[in-house]
Amino acid sequence: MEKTKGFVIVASHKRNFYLYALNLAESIRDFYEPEEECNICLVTEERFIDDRGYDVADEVIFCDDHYRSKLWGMAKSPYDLTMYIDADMECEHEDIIKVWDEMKDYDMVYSELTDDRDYIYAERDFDTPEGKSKFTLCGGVCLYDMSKPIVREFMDDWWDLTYRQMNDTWWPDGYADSLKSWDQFSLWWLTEKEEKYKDLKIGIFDDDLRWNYYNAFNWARTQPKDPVILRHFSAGLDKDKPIV
Amino acid sequence: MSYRKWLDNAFWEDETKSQVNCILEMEDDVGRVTRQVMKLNRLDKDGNENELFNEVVDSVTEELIDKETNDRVERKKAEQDEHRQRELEHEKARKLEKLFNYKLEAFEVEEIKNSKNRKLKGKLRRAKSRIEVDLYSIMILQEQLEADSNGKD
Repeated sequence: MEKTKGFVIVASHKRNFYLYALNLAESIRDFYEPEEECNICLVTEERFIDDRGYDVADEVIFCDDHYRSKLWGMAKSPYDLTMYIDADMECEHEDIIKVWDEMKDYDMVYSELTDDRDYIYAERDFDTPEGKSKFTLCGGVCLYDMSKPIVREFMDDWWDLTYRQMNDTWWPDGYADSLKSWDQFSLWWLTEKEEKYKDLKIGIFDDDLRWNYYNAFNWARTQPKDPVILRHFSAGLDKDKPIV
Repeated sequence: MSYRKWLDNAFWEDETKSQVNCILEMEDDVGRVTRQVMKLNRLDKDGNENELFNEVVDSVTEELIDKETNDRVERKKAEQDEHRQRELEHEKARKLEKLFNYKLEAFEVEEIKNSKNRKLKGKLRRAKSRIEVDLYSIMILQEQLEADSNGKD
C-alpha cells in the first residue's frame, strides 16, 4: 500500500503562530500541484481556531499551550511520510511537491547547521563532559517516515525529553542550563547519546538551504544553488506583538 | 640573538611613491619581539634623502612594494564591495520581513479574512511590494462589497 503523505504545521502558545501557520498552509496550497493531493494537518490550540483553520487544513488536532508543542504535534502526525514545517515559514516555489523524493531511504531528513552559516545561530557550540560539541541538525523542518516504528518512538521520545528538560525533571550533568530551552539539545542527545537510535538513518535535504532558508541569512554570503522553496522568517518577527 | 628586519608587506601611501608604509620587526637581547608601524617619507623637510626610507626600499625591494600596493588596493576594493553587497542584502531581508508582517496584517482585515477567492489571496501572498499588497487588498475588498450589495438586492 502506498504511504500517505502530508504536512504538519503546529501553532501553539501565541496567536501570531496561528496566523503564521494559516499563511504557511495557504502558501503550500498555492504551489502544490495537484492541490487536492496536498494534505495538511494543523495542530493548534482550541482557543485559536477559526473557519480559516478548518478551511485550509484537512485535519485539525488540538494541543495545549506548551512553547514546544511542535514536538507533540510532530509525534501525532496522521501521515506516513510527514513534512513538518515551522509555522513562521512560507512556501514560495512549486518544487514543494518534490519534498517526498527527499525521503530516499532515510528515516528522517533535516536541514543542516554548518560552520559557514554560524553567524545567525543564537547558540550552537557547547561544552560536554567529553569536550566541545555543536548542534548539526536544524529542527525547523523535518521530513520523517511515521510508518517506521523506530521513527514513531523517536518522535515520542523527542517530545518527552524536551518536555522534561524544560520543566527541570531531566537534565544531564555537565551541560549548561542555557541549553534547556532548545529542542535542538534533545535532538542532539537522542541522535548522539541514545543507544537505541544509533542506527537511525538521518539525512540532509539536497541543497538543504532551499528547504529552510532563514531570512536572516545574508544572501550575498549564504544561498542555495536553486530557488528557495521554504523561507523561514524566524528572526525578524515579533511573535509577542499582536499582528492587529 | 637580537635582530631587526623590515616586513615584506610594505606599501606606497600614494602614487608618487613619496611615502612608504612599513613595519619594522625587532627582537631584543632577551628575545622579546616588537613590531613598529612606520610611515616614512622619501625626503625630509629640507629635501634630503631619508636613510630609513632607502633602507626599507633596499631591503624589501621596490618591485615587492609595488606588488603589495596593488594587491592591497584590490583587496580593499573587494572588501568594500563585499561589505556593500552584504549591507544591501541585509536591507532587502529586513524589507521582506516587514512585507511579510504587512501581508499578515492585510489578511486580518475582516473582508479579506472572510474572502473565499483563493486566487486573489494567493496573489496578495506573493506580492513583492506594499503597493501590490494594497492593490490586491482593494480588489478583494471590492469583490466582497459587491457580493454584499448583490446579496442585499
